[in-house]
Amino acid sequence: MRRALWWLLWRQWVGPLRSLARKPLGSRGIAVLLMLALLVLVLAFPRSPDATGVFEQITDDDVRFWAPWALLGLTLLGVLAPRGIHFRPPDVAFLFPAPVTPRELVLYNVLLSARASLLSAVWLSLLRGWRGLGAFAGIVLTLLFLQLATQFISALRAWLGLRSSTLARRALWIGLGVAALAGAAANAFGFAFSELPLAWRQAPAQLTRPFIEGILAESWTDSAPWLGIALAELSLLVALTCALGARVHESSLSASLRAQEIRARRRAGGFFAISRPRAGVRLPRFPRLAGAGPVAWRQSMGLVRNPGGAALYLGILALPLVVISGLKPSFGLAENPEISQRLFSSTLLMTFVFLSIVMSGNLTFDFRIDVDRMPLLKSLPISSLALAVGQTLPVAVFTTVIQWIGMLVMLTVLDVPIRNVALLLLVLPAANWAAISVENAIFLLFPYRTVPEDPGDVGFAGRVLAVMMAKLCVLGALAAAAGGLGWAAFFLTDSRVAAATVAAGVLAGACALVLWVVAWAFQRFDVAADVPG
Amino acid sequence: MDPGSIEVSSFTKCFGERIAVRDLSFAIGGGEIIGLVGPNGAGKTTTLRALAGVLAPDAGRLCVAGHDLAVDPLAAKRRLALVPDGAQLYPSLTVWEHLELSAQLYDVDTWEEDARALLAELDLAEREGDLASELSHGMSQKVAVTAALLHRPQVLLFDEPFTGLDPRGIRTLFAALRRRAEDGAAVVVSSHLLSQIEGLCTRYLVLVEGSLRFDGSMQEISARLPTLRADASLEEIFFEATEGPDEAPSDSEAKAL
Repeated sequence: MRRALWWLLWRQWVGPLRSLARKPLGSRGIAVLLMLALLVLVLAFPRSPDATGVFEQITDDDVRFWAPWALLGLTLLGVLAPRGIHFRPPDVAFLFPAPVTPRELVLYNVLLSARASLLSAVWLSLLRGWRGLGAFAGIVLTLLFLQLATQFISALRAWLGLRSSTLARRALWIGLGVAALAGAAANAFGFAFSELPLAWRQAPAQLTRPFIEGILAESWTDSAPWLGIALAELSLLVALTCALGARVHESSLSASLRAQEIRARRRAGGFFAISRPRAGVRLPRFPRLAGAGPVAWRQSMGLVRNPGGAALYLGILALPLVVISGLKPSFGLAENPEISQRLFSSTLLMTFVFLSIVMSGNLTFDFRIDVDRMPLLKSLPISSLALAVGQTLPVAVFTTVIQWIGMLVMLTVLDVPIRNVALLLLVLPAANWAAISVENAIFLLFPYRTVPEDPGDVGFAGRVLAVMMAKLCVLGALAAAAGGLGWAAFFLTDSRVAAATVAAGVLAGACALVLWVVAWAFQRFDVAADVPG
Repeated sequence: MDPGSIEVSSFTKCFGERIAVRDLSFAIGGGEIIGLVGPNGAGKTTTLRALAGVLAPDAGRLCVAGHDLAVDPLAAKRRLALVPDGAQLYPSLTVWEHLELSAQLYDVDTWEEDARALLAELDLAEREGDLASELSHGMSQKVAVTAALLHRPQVLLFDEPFTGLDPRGIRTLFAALRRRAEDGAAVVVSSHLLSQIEGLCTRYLVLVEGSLRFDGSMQEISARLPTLRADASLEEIFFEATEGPDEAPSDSEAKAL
């Protein structure tokens, strides 16, 4: 690879740090850094040896058995990536017409993606507890393998696209589908895969095993041979990707242009705007309600015309339901209503945390999607509070409806009487609205793009983590206030209804307060200075 | 062969079932400034990308400065520069570093003095230390042009270069392009801003649905369109040439122009 590309690589690696160093750190920057530091502290805090968290219950033997398969599965998901290796827009503009060979370009792209692996490895190492440099190197290599495998599969698909007819490609996909169905049917009709020789059963996962063994090894000397094999596999993958990528260079241009188009669409239409919105569905006009109605109607139209978001949310919700349905006969849940109810409550809490807090950064049909339309919003003859209500309500309603549907399915599966959990279901709308409002308040006070510049956008990852931390802090405080006062009401009156009423009232009050903060933050939003680049 | 020249013969490019460019042939000599015009989907960008070696032809031959792009793409690319539509810079590089990158990519040894001259020529001297992420769209466009001119290319290909430029920026860019043409470079400009390029180009290639409809100066093309006045503007010629199928000449007539 020529010197210019090495130089460019280095500049890209240190670029974000340099940009940070050049900008004077304002109050917003300091707040983001503090949040990140808090997150690092929380993640890196030494765990007690008798801790009973989810991570602590997973043994190394479990990981050793399942992780190679999981990694293999994740690798194969690369078939969902676009056909052809994807380059970033400046690379297409500067490097494609330059006197650089396609092989050099692919190698440059591979090395550029290593940056994201390194940074993700730092977070993952903290999350699982620091296990030494060997394990860290193993995580870096594993993430690199995932990225490279995706690029290799993209190049392979592009190459197959050039080399084979549409008919042959369809035949291949149908063949793979039939094989998977045949395997599942054989399993269902009693064919015991466990009777196959162990070597046969484990054969596919041998490809990914060295990466996992490298992470789990107790010392450098134990991990070195595994990391050596992993490195050899990676080198082979790089060589194959470069050779294949060079042959399908033109597909890279199409893949890159397509990625640019998707990015532009996401920038204007949110994370789920992968495909073009469909104009088929139309909601009836909402009542004006001091201007909040039309604003909410516009956001709701965006939600219903981008069905990708709903599909993903339903998919996430479906997963615990499928698992619990599968567990039901094994654990005798039907005969034990108390366990059923506890399971229901924890699943409800899990889906709330996941959908309304962790994933809410992706469902941005509120102020976040309108970051480039702020001048228009500010010019509307609508009060800030009505605007805040109209902007935040649709996502809260959408999330609540999805959660209610999922929970009602779960009630049926677990045979839990609805009256036992009705209060929990009724608290959901206020909790969701509070969560979305907090998210919007943080966004308006510390504006940021909700779509990364590219997969290795370090600044974006940091901002997302900082926002998540801030959101958890605020919502934790609100939940503590509602729970604490609710408990106090129960202590004084010995009535669950009174406790729930007080808790819901506190939550509703908090919701109103956060909405007022959103309105205030919108008022002080400066369209000349606050719109992120 | 003329060092600043382009030779395209029977160039065809398909994307799946769709034919983007069909049997396109033309030649451009050094010193010419060519306007590549046509409606959306006419094949202008595809032609420019193929001339820059970014897309490979499905049929035909493309030569840049005497080098066949299919046979020796690197030699051809060393002699050309493409400024694509919509300036795409590296956000974490400064203006000066974009020039440094360009110098390294094209193996230009002593480039600093030329770089300073170019920055001054395009009114960027004050901004050389700024990061690309701090620049406006028009400024970014000028940086992309500056980086493209640094290695003194013999063939210059511009796709919508005037988008986002203010009147002063457009005038500056005009002057820069004319200067390169006077030095013997072949310049091809694709643009929808017909009134802008009317004063710049010496010859026009009119593409419609991937085929060359007209090739010549404004006077030569309007002479082929009897309904037009002799002093018709480029915009009038464009509409007549692209929306008046009855008057359109055959491919052989177009080539004969």
